[in-house]
Amino acid sequence: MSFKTLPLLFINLGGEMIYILDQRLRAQNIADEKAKKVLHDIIATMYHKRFMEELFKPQPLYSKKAMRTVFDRLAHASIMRLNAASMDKLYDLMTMAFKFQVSLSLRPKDIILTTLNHIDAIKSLLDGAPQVQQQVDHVYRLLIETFGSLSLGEFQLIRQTLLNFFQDMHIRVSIFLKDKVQSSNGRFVLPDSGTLPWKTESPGTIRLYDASGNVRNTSQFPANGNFVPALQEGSFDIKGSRVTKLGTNMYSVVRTVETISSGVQRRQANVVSDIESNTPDPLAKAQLDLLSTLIGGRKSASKQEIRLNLFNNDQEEDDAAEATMKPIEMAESKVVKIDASKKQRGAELNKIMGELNVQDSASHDDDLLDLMDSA
Amino acid sequence: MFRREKPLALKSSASALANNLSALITPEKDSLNYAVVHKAVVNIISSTTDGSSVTNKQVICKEPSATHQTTPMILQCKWIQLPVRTVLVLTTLRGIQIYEYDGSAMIYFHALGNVHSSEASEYGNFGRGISCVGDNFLCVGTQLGEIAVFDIPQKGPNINMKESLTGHKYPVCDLASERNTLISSDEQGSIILWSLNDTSIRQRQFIQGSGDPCSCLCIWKDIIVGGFGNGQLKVYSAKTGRLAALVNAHVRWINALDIASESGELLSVSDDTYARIWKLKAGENPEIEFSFGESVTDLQLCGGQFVHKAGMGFCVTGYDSSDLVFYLRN
Repeated sequence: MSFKTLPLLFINLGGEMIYILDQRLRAQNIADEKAKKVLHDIIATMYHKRFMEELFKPQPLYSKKAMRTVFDRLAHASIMRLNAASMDKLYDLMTMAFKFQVSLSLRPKDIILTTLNHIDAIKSLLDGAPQVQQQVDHVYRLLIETFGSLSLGEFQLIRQTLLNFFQDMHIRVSIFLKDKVQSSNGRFVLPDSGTLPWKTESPGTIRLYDASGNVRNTSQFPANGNFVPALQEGSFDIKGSRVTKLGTNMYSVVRTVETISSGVQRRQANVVSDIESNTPDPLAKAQLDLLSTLIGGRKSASKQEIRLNLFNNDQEEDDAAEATMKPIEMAESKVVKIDASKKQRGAELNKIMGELNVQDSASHDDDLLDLMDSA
Repeated sequence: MFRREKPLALKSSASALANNLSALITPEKDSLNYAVVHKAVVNIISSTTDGSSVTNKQVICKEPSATHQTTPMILQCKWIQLPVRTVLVLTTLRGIQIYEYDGSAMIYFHALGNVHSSEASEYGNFGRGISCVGDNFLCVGTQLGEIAVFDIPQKGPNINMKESLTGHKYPVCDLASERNTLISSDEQGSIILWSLNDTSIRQRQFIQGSGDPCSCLCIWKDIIVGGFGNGQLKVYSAKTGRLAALVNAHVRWINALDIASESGELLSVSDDTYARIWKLKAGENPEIEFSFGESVTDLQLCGGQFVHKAGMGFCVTGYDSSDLVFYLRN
């Protein structure tokens, strides 16, 4: 595990959160001024100088649970309010989007470019908030200081740490399914052609060398797939071209995004291995406390709350759930394992089952439709 | 040339790590064993050679530590078959754990890094790269670039650390060995050849890397093959340390290599979903030829092993999947 992974995980998940909130605020026709205020408040908390500096200190990753709590609190750092179902969906979308970006990045170092894409986009949302812009610039500097000169091996370790954080999360996202980049079992489609990673040569060549180091024979083998070399390496400069599209706003074109998760899948995604859930996370706790204080300070400012909803309407959600329930059962049945022998697991499952019930009833709740009430 | 067979199901999915599959193939005992890392757990599948009986087992890694509350994480697990004894070795973020071959009991724990420090940056010193040399020496690479050598007794927990070999300036990625030659690779792509004479291990040759990590390594009949982060395979002569062949083999990180010792076939697996089989030719100028390649759809392959000395079959693992995928020769 790389002890430098935490800020990257946080900034990228946070970036995805801002994209989604921005899209939902627009979709719900929240007044421009108000929407701006919501985003600025959340970004200001997210990029708080002291909090960020804490994150950049070498440390292990948070547990999944702690990370989720951080974002629960962040989402409520403005006058906007999300109900539990919407928060679940928001977090699912954020995590799957970043998992997609890590999985598809051409080389481990591209994770920094993805992060910079998120930072670039966030800065573009900060018109008229120079103070917050400065906070983001500060994080950019921290990022370059910390990651600017890491070796390829260290980036690979970061990539592995991130992938292991996202391991066993297979929530299906409609935008990915529609774009055919995710298959029905929740796995991402890995392209077998396209742009090669920077400095990687086209596959298919074998060169043999003689005793004096000269090529004595060159032959080809069928490598399947059409590859084009990368024309340019992504830049770490503050206004450079990142080249990769990963980490840019995929919601900028107006379309709705759904997560499709059955009970079976959700259970699987949420089961934390025993060791993980047993281990208290003192650092994470301390930082959560810090975050709470930061957010606490803002609370007094909130007068008029905005309720944001991640679903279009509850009928749509029910339909989606019903329509996909059966195929998922079939596709996943061979993977789902519930180990009753572990005493912890039972309690965990019950808890998750409890959460599921809440979610089900929430979807019938009128609240979900009253999107515009308080806006 | 190879056809895909029915997979075996691991108890949980494979983590994204290089060399994330170890196989202990002992047909004489009618037993095939596979070990794959899932976070802090090693999933072990044991099967009879005809596949009629399959059992699952888990080794859960716990770290004896008073000061740190972090979740343990395994970086590699591998069976080491010494002439005197077979052991299962785990490397973690903070140490090296040696188990009986069946994972039933931990017989030794060796802490790496500064165990008394509470600074994350200081106590980080993971182990990675496991091999053996001679009759009784177990070798494990570390993040600081050292190779810890342990003397393994025939029986019992009386394991001693013999010495620590220095030479690498970057974290060690993988180790491999053949008879009295040990080879090691690091994150800079450098490879060191070590020789064992009696009981002393000395550096024999240093092959300078180009910056791309050499994440996996193997050796056969004085041919060294390294798998690199840029998807290339490099073939060296162990006698001279000279580069004999360069193959643009994959388009992503190569995560594992294995050689079928009787047939001289090489297996390479990569994040690019491809498993490829190559044929090695020993001699003054070692050669390599392509013989088979197949993509395991949407799976970033992280482990690969032959299940037969003559290369009659191989199996692979991929990130986030609990399938142990088998291929058998037609």
